[in-house]
Order: sequence, then structure tokens, then C-alpha cells
Amino acid sequence: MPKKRNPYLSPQDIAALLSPPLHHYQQPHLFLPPPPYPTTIIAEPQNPISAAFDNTLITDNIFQYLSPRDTATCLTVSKTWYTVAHLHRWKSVTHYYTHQPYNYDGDPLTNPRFQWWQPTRDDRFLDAFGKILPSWPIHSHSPSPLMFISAKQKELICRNAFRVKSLRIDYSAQSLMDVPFGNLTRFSLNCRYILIKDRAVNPGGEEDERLKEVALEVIARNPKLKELELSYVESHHGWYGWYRGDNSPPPLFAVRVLQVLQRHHHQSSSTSTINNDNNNNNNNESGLYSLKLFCQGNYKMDDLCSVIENCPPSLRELTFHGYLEYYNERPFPVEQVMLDRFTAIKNNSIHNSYYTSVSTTTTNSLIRQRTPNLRLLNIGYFFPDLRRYEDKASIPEITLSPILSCFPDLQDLFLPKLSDNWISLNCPELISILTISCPSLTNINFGNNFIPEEHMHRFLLSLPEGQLQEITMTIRPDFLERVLPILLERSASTLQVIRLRELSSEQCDIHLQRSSYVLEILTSCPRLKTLAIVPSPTDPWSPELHLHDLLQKDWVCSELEVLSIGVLDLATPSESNVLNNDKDTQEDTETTSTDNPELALYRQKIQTLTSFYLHLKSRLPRLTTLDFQWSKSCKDIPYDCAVEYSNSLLTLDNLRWMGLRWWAIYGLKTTAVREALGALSKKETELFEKYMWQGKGIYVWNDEDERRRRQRETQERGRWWGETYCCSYCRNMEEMWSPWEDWEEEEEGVFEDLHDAYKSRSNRRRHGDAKWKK
Amino acid sequence: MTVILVSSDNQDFKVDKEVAERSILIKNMLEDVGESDSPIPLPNVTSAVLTKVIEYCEHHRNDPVQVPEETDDPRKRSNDIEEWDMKFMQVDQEMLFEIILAANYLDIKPLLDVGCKTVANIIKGKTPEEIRKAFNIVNDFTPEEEAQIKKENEWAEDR
Repeated sequence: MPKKRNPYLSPQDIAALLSPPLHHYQQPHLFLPPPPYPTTIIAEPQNPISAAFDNTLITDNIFQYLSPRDTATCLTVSKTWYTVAHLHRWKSVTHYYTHQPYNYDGDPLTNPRFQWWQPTRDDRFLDAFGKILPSWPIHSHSPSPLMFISAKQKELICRNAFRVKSLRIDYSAQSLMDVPFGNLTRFSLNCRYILIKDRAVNPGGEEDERLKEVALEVIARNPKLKELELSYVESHHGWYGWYRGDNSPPPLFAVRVLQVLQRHHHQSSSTSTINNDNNNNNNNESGLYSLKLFCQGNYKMDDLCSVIENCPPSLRELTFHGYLEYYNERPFPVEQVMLDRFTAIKNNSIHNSYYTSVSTTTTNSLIRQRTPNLRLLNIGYFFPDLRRYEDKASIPEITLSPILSCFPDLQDLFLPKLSDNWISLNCPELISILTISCPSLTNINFGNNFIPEEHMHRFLLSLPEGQLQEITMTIRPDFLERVLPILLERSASTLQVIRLRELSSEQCDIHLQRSSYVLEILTSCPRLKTLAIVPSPTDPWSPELHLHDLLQKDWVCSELEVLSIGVLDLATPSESNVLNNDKDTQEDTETTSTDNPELALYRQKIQTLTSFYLHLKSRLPRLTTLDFQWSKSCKDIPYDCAVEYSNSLLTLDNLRWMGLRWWAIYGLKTTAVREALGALSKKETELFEKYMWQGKGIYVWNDEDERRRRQRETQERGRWWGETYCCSYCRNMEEMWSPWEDWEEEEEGVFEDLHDAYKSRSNRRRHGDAKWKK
Repeated sequence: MTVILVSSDNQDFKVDKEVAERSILIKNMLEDVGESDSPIPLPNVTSAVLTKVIEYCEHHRNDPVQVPEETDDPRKRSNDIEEWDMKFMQVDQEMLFEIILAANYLDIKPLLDVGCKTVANIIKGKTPEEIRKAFNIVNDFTPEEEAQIKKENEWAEDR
């Protein structure tokens, strides 16, 4: 009997049978494991954060606002962030050994107290530093004592040279100038001398001329430069040079730089015709936006004229600092010469300046200079002895007038120092000049110049209402009667930055609590972002700032980012009671637990500080920098008290954020810090105890790997310590700056001690001390 | 004249042409298509985000159009956000990035800039751990890898 056949399958049945093996990922095959991915392809909505960070356009936009340090932080967030941030890591290369030059208009966020005000700190610091410099350790990777770029680092930078947009270096990194950077938009070279025992020493050797040539090469290689800063690349220009026997001074380096920038212009415009029309914007012109020249030596007013005459038309910000001398010009009527030259600049009738090189390629017609339409002018010239001569030219307004009249659109004017002495600029003409020449002024910085109350009042009255955004001035108690009220009345709605330096109240009968006017500002200026007040160190108006008073009214400045006020000391309402061991007060506060009235007082102060801290944290979300400028009397918080109060609120980080850099930390010897100290050798611990806790916190490691290892260890326990105070070879002066702030002459011995410690360690290492190796 | 914008979830938004043209994408579309009543589909923008974007464009309808100048300040600052914009950007993080993506898609540069400045301000001054916490990111580095990266970049400066 024939076998019964299965019925024929219909085409649909065949398709149904065949389809599963062909599409096993859709309907899992019996013998195959389930697929590791979804069986259907559905466009899942991407997390917007990931999507944004996947978009190069967006990340470029975000990272352009971040500093190199923030970018470096982003590298360690995650692997994805590393991939994104790595592209931006090399946009900036910065390497400083020496401290920054005088920087009156420095960013107050980094150090609100000093960067804009006290030029003397560099001298004090460098003078002290210079004592250990001659026997400074030699870096293992470098033949020169002050070279800190290793071959490996340089190779890394060379590979990424095309990515670098910003290069900021000093002597210590001059080897980087050989790297073929070609896309720089910012170049800053600081060649400041270090003072050693009143003698200026060039740590890079006597290579001024070579360095100048190399700097010019870098500038020539980078036609996209937007910002250029040259600090002390040129030194001892002017009559110093004449004393050295030169018959004629060399051409000003700044002018040579500007001529190189002309070549950029010339190259880029060689294919196009030059349009002589002033109103026609030439897109091929050099795009230099900001030029900063810090010069050392003596300059003639003629030099200043030359610089301004040669500035490219695109320039918007010009900073020129240097001594200006009249000696060379005394036989001539300086003011007339200046007037003539600046009038020519103003009228765009300079023949021998910016377009000179271009003019040869065109017709012989008059090539007219387009004066740069400056928005910022920072002119830090000063005279050895103002009014020493009867010559009218020694009066600053005579020289300022023709300069300012060239720049009618000026918005930011910085006059940090018009004399090397503290003087009262009793010059009524200056105010008139400012009012007439700079009608658009929104930011005025009078720096170290004291403008008398009467003139300042007149100046503030002359400004249009609601125009002023930033002001820096020196005040005396009599300013509180008219000047500050008129300032707040006319400009409170627009003021964003107020920086005041209190001058001694000796000559004034008015005695006011500083708290009252500080509070007035905080309750009147809704857009205020920076308030910095430096009290007079010798004769403060009031030695204590009453934080309780400051909290009495609601502050309107919710956008405040920087608050630097000279608290000097904390006033507590029941201070006297505590000191007298008042029984009631003791019951009310936690301070009752001790018999020591001084301890009780400190505890109360810390409580005041805690409540103030809470207030700031809750009401000022954008506050990033707080600096109380503590007096010495406030720094020695008793050890017992401090340990008790090193609670979760007043952590080391929080205290540091509040500007309690080291003297308050002095008291906070927590267990973690003790453990960190345990990792140190006996000698190191002694030095640390002796100087760090007493505020002389410099510590020099001579072995990089050792330092890093210990830094890692200490970071885990007491993060602040490894980061801030442990610096290697003082490579980054910013790192070690804070412990030096209150350097006292009588304690200079720290350098010798440290150096001795270093030498003994070096000897031990050299001789294979087993103990040290351990 | 008004324009109808359609969000990805099919909601219609009737806005003034002047307001809609703050978006360069829409402006170009309108120029290409010419006079038309047809709604403009925006498949990459949800209604919630489009509402915010329109709110921004309404507020800035009279602002001059940004033209990049040769002499623009090369230094970019993230703290110069207008007060209104700052309040406008006080949204949850997901919405903030949605706005940034929408601004990028619609080609509204001022809005993109404000959004990116806001993100930059969130990142600024924070430690890696704080950034992870702020953006809910898991650290997938080994301690050795992290130490190596820190070592390579320890000389990064503030400015």
C-alpha cells in the first residue's frame, strides 16, 4: 500500500514555514540563543544631554567658555567626556614660573585683594624669593635651572601645536617658542626680571635680543592673533640705554611688533586694492583686538605716540605701562609736541604709520591712517616725581588730554598710577577732560590716584544717570557724605563692580562704622557682581566689621559673585560679656563649656561666621569668591576651639572658599590633617608645624615623583593640603601665593631653613640614605 | 502675517512671521517656499520645547540680528547673560539641553549661546565628582586611568 503523502502545501504555507529560519532574529530559532540586541529597530529617543555632547558644534560652543583648568577637570569625568574635552585640552598652553606682571586690572575672581591694587606685593615676594634662587635645585630633565619644559612635554605640545590657540609663557618655557604654532589667537610672553637683593636678575640669561627676535618670529608666524601681551620683553629702554654708552636708543620693540603685524596686513591684502576711504571697512586688515605692553625702563612721550600711531585699526583695547620721562624732551615744549602728534592721530593724517608698507604697492597718494576706535585704554605711565619741575607737562591732565581726545568711544579707562608716590591729584582739569573726551565711559579705574572729594563729586555728577557700571577709587571718610550717596543715587541701577580703597582717616573728623556704608551698597545695587573694599592697613576707619549689622536689611544684589570686604576682625554683640565671663551669656551659647574667656570669644566669633556663611549660601547663589581680609589678630584661633568647630559646615573647603586661607585653617588641625602629617619625615613635619601653621606655608619638594605620591595620599585625606600648599619648585606661583600674603620681615628666616632642609635632603639622597629612600 | 509651526507631537503653534524668523532655518524655508499657508513641520522639536523657544523669540523679537564682526571681542565670557535670559534658562537640566538642541536645529544663535553659557556655568569651578553629580554621569575610569589623566594635565591653568 502506497504511503500516504502529505497534502501539497499552499504557497502561503510554504512562506510561513520558510520565513522563521530566514528571520531568526525576529522570531528566535529554536537552536539559536536570543539575540543580544532588540529584535526590532526602533529609533529610541536619545537622552538630550548625550545628544548635545555628541554634537561638535554644541560642545565647541560650551567649551569656549571654559578655562583650561575646567577643561582639564572635564577630562576626568568619564570616558565620553574625555573624548569630548580632549579636543579642547590643547586650545591653551600656559606655563609660568615668575609671577604675573603688575596687573592692576587683573581678574578679581582669582585674587580680589591684590591683583588690582597693591603693586608692592611682587617686590616683597620676589625679593624674598630671590634669596633662595641662586642655589635653586636643577631639574633632572633640563640643563638650565629655570627650565621646566621636559622633552616629553615639549614633544606632546609639538604634536598638538595646530590645536593651540592660546600660548602664555615666561622665561621658564621659552623653549616652547621653537614649536611651530601657527593658529595662535592669543600670545603672551612675560620676561619679567626677578629681583634679588634689589638687583634685577634675568633668570633666562642675558639673551634679551635673541628673545626679542624669537618673539617677533612667533608673532610673524601667527597672522590670526587677536590678543598680544608682551611683558618686559623690552627692558632698560630709553635713557638707561644712553647711560650704557649707546649714542642712539634702539627702535622701540613695541613698534617693531606693530610693524610685523603690518606685514600680516600687507600679505593678506596683497591681492586686493587698498581702499583709502576711512569709512570703508577693510576686511583684510590685521584683526588684533587687544594689545598689552608692559615695559621696563624709561620712555619718552614720543614712544607712546609711536605706539598709538602704529596700532592697527582693528585694535579695541590698548594697555601701555612704563615709566615716562621728560628728561630727553625737556628742551622742547612737550605738551605742544604731544598735542600736535595726537591731533594728527585724531585727524587720521599720519603718513608714516600703519599703511606705510602698503603704500609702496599702491599709488603715491596720501595713505591715511585709520585711528583705532579704542574701547579700552589702560595707560599706566607715571613720572618719577610729579610736579618736580615747573614744566606744565609734568601735570598728568596736560598729557592725558590729547590722548583721550583721540578716542571718543572709550568705555573703559584705567589710570592705575600717574605717579610713583601717593599723591592727591588736585587737578580740576582732569575731571573736565574726562567728561568732555569720554562721554561713553562706563568703567573708570582711578587706581592708586586719589581724587579729592570735591572733584570726585563733580565727576560723578557729570556722568549721565544710569551709565556707570564699574568704578575703582580711593576714598576717605568724608566721601560718605556726598560722593557715595551721589554714586548710588545716579548709578545704583547699573553698577556691577565697585572697588574702593579706604585711605587713612587721619585728616578727617568723620568716624563712621564701615558696616553702614557697605550695607548701603549691598542694599542699593541690584546688578552688583563685585564689591571689593580694602581697608587702610595703618589706620582703619573701624577695626571691626559688624556682620550682624550687615544682615539687618535684605540685600538686593542677588547676582553678587565676588565679595571682598575688610572685616579685619569679627565683632560679636556680647563680646564684652564673654570676656567678663558673664554667666547669662555663657548659658545662652555653646561657649559656656570652658573657663577660658578667650576661647569662649573665639567660639562666638565662629558662630557669627557660621550664621553669616549660611546667609550667603542661601541668598547669593552666584557667589564664588569671598575674602574677608582677616587681620592678624583674627588668625590665631585657639587649637582646642578650632578642632571642636571643624564640623560639617565649616569644612576646610568652605573656609577656604570664604577666604580663610591659612590662618583660620591654622586652627583646624583635624584628625585627617594629622594623618597627612604622619606621612612626612620628622624634619618636614617640624618645618610644616613651624611655618605652615603659623602661616608661612611654603613647602618645597625636590623629588617630583615623591611629591606626587604624597600629594595623592594627602588629597584623599585632606584635599586642600596637597593642592594648595604643596608645590614643586614653585613652578606655579599662583599655587603658592596664598601662604605668602602676609609675609613679615622678621620671619624671613623661613627661606634659609627650607633651603637647609632641601640641602640636607639632597645630601642624603646623594649618599643613598636608606631612611630617606623609605 | 502669521506662520503655523507643527511640533513633533503634532501640536500647532501660530506665531508671527517676525517671531518665527528669529530662526534662520524657518526664515530660509519661508524664503524658499514663498507666500504659503502650509504649516511648517518641526519633527525634532516637541511641543514643550517649542513653547519655550517661541517664548524666547517673542521676547527677543526686536533684537538686532547678530552679525559676527572682525573686531569682536575674542574672549568669551559666560557670565554676561541678561537677567531675563538667566531666568528663562532656569529649567530642569533635560529641558535645558532640549532647548540647546532645538536652538541648534532651528539655527537660533543667541539662544544657543545662552544655553551653552548656562551649561558652562554649571561646569565651571566644579570638581569631576561634582560634575558627575550635576549631570548624573557614572565614572567609568579606573583609578589608575584617572590618575594618569590628572598627571598629564596638572599644569592646566585658570585662564
